[in-house]
Amino acid sequence: MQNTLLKIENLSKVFGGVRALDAVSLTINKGEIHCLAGENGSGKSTLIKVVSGFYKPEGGVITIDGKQYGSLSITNAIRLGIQVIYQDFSIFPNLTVAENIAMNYELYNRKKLVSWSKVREIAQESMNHIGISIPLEEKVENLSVADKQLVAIARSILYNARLIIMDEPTSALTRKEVDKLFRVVRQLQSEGVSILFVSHKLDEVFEIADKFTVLRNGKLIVTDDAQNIDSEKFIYYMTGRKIEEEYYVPEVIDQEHTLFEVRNLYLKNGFEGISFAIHAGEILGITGLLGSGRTELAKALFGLYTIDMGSIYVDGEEVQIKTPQDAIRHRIAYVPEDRLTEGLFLSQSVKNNLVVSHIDALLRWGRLDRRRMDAQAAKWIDELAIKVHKLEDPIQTLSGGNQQKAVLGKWLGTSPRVLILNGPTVGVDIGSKFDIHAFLRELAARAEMAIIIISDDISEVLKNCNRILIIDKGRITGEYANTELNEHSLMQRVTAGEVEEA
Amino acid sequence: MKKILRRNEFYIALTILLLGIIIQTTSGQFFTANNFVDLARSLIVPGMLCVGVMMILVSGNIDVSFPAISMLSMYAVVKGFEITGYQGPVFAAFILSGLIGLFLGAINGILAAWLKLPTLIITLGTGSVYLGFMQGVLKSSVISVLPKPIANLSKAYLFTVHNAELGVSSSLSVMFVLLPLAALSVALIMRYTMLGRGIYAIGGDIISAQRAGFRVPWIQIFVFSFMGALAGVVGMTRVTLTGMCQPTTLIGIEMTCIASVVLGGVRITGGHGTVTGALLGALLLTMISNSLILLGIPSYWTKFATGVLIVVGIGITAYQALRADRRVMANILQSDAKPIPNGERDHA
Amino acid sequence: MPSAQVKAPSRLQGLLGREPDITRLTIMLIVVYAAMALLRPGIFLTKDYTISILYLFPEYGVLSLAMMLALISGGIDLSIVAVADLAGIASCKLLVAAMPEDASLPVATLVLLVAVLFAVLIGAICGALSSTLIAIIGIPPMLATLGSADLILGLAVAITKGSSVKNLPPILSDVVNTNLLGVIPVTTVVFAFCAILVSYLLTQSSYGFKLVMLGSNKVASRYAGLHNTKIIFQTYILSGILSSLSGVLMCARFNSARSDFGTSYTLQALLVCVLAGVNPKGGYGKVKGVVLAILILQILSSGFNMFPTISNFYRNLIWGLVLLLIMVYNHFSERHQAKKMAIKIK
Repeated sequence: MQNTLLKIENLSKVFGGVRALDAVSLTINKGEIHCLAGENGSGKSTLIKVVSGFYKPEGGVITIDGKQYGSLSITNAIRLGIQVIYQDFSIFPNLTVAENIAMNYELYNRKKLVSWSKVREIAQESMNHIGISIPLEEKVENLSVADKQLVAIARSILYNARLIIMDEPTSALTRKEVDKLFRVVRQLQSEGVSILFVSHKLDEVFEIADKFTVLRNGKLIVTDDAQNIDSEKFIYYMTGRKIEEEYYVPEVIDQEHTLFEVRNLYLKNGFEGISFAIHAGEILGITGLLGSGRTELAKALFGLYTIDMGSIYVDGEEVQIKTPQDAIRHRIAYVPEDRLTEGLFLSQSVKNNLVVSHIDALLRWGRLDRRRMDAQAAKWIDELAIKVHKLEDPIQTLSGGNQQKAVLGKWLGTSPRVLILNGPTVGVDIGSKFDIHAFLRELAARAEMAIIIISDDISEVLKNCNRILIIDKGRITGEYANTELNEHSLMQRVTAGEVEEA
Repeated sequence: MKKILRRNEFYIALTILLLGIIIQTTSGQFFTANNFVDLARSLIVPGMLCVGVMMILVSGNIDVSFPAISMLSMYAVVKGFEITGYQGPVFAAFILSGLIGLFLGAINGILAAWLKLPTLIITLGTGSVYLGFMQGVLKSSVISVLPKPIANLSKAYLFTVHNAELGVSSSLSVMFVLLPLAALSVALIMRYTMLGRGIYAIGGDIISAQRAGFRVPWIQIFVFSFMGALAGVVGMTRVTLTGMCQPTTLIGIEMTCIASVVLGGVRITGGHGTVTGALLGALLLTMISNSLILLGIPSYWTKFATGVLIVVGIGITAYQALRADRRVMANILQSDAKPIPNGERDHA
Repeated sequence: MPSAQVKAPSRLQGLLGREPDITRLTIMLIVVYAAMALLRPGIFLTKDYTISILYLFPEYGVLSLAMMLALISGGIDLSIVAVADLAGIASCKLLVAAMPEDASLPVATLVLLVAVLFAVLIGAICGALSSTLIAIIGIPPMLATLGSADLILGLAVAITKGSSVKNLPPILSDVVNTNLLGVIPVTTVVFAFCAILVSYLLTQSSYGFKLVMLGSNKVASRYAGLHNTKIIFQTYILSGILSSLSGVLMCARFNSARSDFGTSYTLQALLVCVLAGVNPKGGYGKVKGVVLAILILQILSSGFNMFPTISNFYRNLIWGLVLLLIMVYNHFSERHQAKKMAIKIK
């Protein structure tokens, strides 16, 4: 009893009829490192938000220090020593590094006035604690993604935190930085601080956690000691299935038929020396950490950035891609990373979302041809098995997986020659994920479309791409056939990070 | 030094200087004491309003109702004094006007915080209500003979300068002290209080601000209430400076103020801006409208000229931001986090 | 993974039809009309009064259509009145200058036509200016159109040196102030034409479809390959053209051209759009709704004239209050809708 820091009993959270959390119970002891695992949509983000006071639960009890609470307010949670580092870091881009780091201290101590020397002192101390150095007066919006994450971590490792919740903290870190992070985590543990660590990476559970908990569909599946887990059990707990995807090995690769090729692409501050070619029947994978330049590359291929140097060839012909209109004209399609802001028109119907990119082909005598619009929409709903009641339903009501299928359908309607997908199954349920993968393999087999999958999901890239490029700091650092590697070896190469001085 | 060059405020100051030189060379009348006093005098009202507008914009909001708040407060007080025959100390007028403004501004704040409606439309609505109230219910009209206390104040000057060449003299009203007072208070709040940092925080990322534990609704209410109170005081200031109470005197000034602060580097999207920038922007626009006469431009071209300059000024900042969007900002190609020399590395 | 649940619409909703906002507006219109008719049947129900209602509303009715387009695109056009004034002034100047003495009716009509086309051209140019500021320079629409309004109005003031264009040839007011078939004012016809055109564009054309998508999500629109810049240009130029027509109508009514016509119309147009259910953040708006909202407002406005004790100044007050009330109502009904839709939030 003395050892328990936080106890959650039967916690539930409901959003408009959907149970995001269903009677979840969990205990965290003092100085314990606890990993919370689950697929996207499992409820782990919701759980964090309830514990940190951002949401109020619809049932259940939270016990801290022997006192019971029906719900927590944000300030209360902070006062009780609960600190959260969100995946989007929750930092203020318009403020300086020093101020962002010291923010917690200021608010915690109910400060009314600001002492800038104190702010700098606190910030410097915190950065020293975790062994990083970033200019204090730099505005955070100018920092790289990895640096932003470090600022967020530096902020939360401050006074009186008794439970630090980290939401996928390693997504942007190189191997060395992950090591550094884990050193700090163990140090905090030795000081009696508990860490709740959200992750879906098995390695991390093994490496750092004392205990782990798996959530699925809002329900608690299992809580156990970390030593009792293995990879098979992990997948089973997370997904409820024992599915193992097979490696994609195309039967025929037509080396003569190059669908898409790029040579020596260079974008200022973004990437350089990028060259690759895709032949009929192949799926190319590009993987790297957050901030490695992979998204910039994808966007440049679609005209959202304009490359400064280099050439692009579609079907052997050189093309100039300066705008998305150029890209579409040359039959390049891009399924973007952030479905909600970049891929979907949330307030519109499923039908509108499906036809928007080729609407000009669906006209009759200058007018919108509603019949053909309906037919097109129905076609892709059918081919991609999108679960929807009516074409007119708002796309908001679809699940993440079905929404992603709709984005894919939108692009397939333009009959592209090159299909670039960035993070195609992020936030997608396991069923839709496999559906999408299967569909992509089928498309590749038809040998009409060059497919590029850009993703940080090691397993996805490994299983579905016959060739994999590793990108780091804007340069390609490796090219492998997928059959040459396994998850572990690929992960190693991706997080190799800075070259060690010999 | 390099840091100064990167700052927006530097370029505005430079523009102001250049403009001054241009005007001096064409008319020979810019760098004169009496012109400076005239400028200072013209700067009082827009300057004070601009520092308030800056606070509003930094918080990520917009307020177009403050001219109406200003006019309603000032008219109510002057009329009230006239009717009651008030003869007491004049600062009561300012306090009263400020309180009325505070109340009206608080309404804006509450609507913004509670209902979370776009503040442009909220303040368009409240602005009309306040204006309509003043004109309809209070049946406002011009009061050319001010109540004694106020009339006396309007003749109080800090000092007077003479221009021998033109044979005119300019006097600086005591009201001028209010400008640095307002500017300083806003600057202190924004820089040295958690409230001020909270305003920047909300303007930067409102969700992060909530998560961090800032009391967002209260900060919103404060920002609008402060603007309202300031507007109320400015209304009385205007009355004192012009020597009469004209209830339509500030109509349209919201555009000038918003344009001024945007020129001064305050972003309309929120989170960025300084008092210095706001004041410089106000100075620039005041200079432009004051000096068009010196440049020999007929008065009916003034509005057009100011319009062109505003559009060009705002356009430049906006275009820079647009270009930045199309480029990769953070340097991915270089190694990012700086390595720490071995001796200083943390030993875990 | 919990699937989204969509509740089947209740029977009442089925009754109200698939367009609840239009139904709501129609009911409001009927109520307002009935109220006015009951209060002052002697004045309100006369033919003359009805004609005056029909005559007056197109001025800001056309402006409301202009505002609607800008709002749907996710922006706003605060320059509509400035454009109307400038276009009116420009075309009246042309009319005065180009009209030969003792012109016969066909010649006069021709000159009038040219003058109107000139107004439209001015409107289009102003629209192009705003579009350039918004789409090419990247100034947010609110600031861009406030800025262009200043510029445009400034130009109007400079051209007229603050006074007005007078002594217009009678052809303008003769044409505009007639009533077709004795009952339908020409202004109403102009408005009807504009409304039908805009409605067609919004519901039947590729432009309209793209406009709605752009307004729904500017980023996704770009990522989907839509030509955002082109759509913005089309929108604000159209808005400028509509505004210019309003300017011509105002000049016809006052038989002169000034730079300070219609200053309250910007707020009114915004009010009409908000009442009509146009989403101020973009992506949604119906011409049907705008027409109904215009009629409601005009009946209210004309109704005030029947009560001479309510001064014109109260108008501002009431419009402001109505705007706020509608926004509050919209906000709460939006929240209600969102709860009903069972969205899974992570």
